[in-house]
Amino acid sequence: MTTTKRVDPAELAKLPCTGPSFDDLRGKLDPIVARYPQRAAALLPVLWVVQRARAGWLHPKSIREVAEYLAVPQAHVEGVITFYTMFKDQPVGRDVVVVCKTLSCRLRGAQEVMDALEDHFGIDMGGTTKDGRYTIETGECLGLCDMAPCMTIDEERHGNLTPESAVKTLEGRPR
Amino acid sequence: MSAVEFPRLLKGAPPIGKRQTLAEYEANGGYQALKKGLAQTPDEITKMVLDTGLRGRGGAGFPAGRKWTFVPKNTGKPVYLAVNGDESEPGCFKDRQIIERVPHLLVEGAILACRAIGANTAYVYIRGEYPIGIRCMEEAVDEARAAGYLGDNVMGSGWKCDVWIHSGAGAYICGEETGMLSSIEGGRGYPRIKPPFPAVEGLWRSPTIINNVETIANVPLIVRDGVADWKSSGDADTPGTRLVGVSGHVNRPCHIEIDPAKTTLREIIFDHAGGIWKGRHLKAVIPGGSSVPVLPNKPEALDVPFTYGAVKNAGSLAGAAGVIVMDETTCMVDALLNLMEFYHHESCGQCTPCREGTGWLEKLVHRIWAGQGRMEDVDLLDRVADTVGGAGAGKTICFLADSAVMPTKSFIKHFRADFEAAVRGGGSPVYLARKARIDRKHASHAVGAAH
Repeated sequence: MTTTKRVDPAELAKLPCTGPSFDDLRGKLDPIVARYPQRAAALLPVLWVVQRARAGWLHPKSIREVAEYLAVPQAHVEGVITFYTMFKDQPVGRDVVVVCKTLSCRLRGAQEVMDALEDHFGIDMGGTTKDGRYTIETGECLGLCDMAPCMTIDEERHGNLTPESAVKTLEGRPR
Repeated sequence: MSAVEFPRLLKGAPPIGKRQTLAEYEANGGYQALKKGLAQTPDEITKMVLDTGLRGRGGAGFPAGRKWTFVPKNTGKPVYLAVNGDESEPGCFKDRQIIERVPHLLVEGAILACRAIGANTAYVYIRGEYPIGIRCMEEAVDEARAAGYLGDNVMGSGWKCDVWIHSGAGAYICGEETGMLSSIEGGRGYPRIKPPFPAVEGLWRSPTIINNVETIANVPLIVRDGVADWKSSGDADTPGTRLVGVSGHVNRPCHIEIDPAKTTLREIIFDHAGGIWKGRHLKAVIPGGSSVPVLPNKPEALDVPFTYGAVKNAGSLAGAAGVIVMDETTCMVDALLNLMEFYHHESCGQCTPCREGTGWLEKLVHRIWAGQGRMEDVDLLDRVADTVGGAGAGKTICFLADSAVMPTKSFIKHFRADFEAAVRGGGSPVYLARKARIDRKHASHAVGAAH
């Protein structure tokens, strides 16, 4: 088994920042900023747009550009990103899988689902599959308790999982 | 008595996976309340909500109409409405039913609430884990704006009102009302010291009213059908219907809308949710979401109506109506460890008793769980919990620490035998069943580290 490797912060900037240029995103961002009496308030929705458009994570360049765009310190942007589990300051797989670990799911077999995924993909929870396809994390209560145990794959939700069906779901999606 | 559902909020709602469109909502009487409300004064709308006695559905149960009256008059500042759809309490998924299935009900409620409190802008905060819900709400808001229910001239009245959807990004603490305000302002979700209360100084230091999604969704029904009709469900303590989520060891995990005065906790578990799975017996139930005290399988805990007052008298809280059911095979040490991991992870870290204390609670429970506990650790856990907080302890800015303490103390109170058995037996049965795997993993990581 491999542990989750985080890229050294000094190395992150050397990775390519893929996706549209910031100027190309402005058309989408300006109307969002206009919803708030202060520019700084748009930080969360702006980060969402940039993260989605640029490979699912926030490259140091993205962080710098967002800070400039909203006229807030870069350290503030970094502080916000690290506070919220859904903002990523490290590269992620093409799709992010979140397996719910909280009580309603645990009572119905979430642990066995996580074990099966770890064994099948040879990673620990939080890791990325070797082909770069999935980052598989645990998450706290996803609000899908009526279909426990459950997981989400980006916007898809999958419930009433068994260890087998969880593996099959991830392997069975179109590449 | 067999259990009966009382659909009011979800009357005519499409099944999950489908969103009620504007046309469907209008055909169902939608936006008639707004038409009525625009012909009324703001104070008349507030008085109706006051007269119903509608209590906040986010968990605290504070009377919504009274909250609205706290907005100071003539401050010269704008007034804001913030609708709390951060629904992150473990075991709760009721607001998602409104957000995804009848989003226009929420939009109409938000517009009416704005009208009542003198606001022109509402922000609806929805947790980042609900991307489908966020899309449903954004589509509903766009439809409402195109139809003239939102914008600079609401239904030709000359009154301006806008509703914006604000997406969270994964933080339980943003469901705490002032943490949510910090998040809407673009910051970490840090709760704020009260006073000043948000009604006086909220978003951008302006008066802000914060209501839960389900609370706001009730407003159009009140304005459209009148106070007496709305109060025909529930009782004086808990007027109106309640949306309840049932999960855990039941045959049919589900959400239901009930008349709280006519439905007992036992009926919720055994009639609506089909009873305990695998032919087993009930061991414990958390009635209101993970933060409230757990109840044992006793008639005095179960045969009570699901009203705020009755559940409180039974020793717990109806809270946000997330009923989590545990069967006779459940190790309560394992269940509590799961919750303590949650609270420790979700502590925002501002207050020492919470930041450190939730960690202590997790470590202590983990020690017992993993067979390292001593018999005196059970009492130590109970004492540490008292140090961290408790209902109304007020040691911290917000209630997160108290929310970790309430389950801890009640788990020990009702299920001490499970903790003592884990101490005596070398750990929780869940730990013992997984021990080989846990040891193997540690060993492989140790090897990995050496290379």
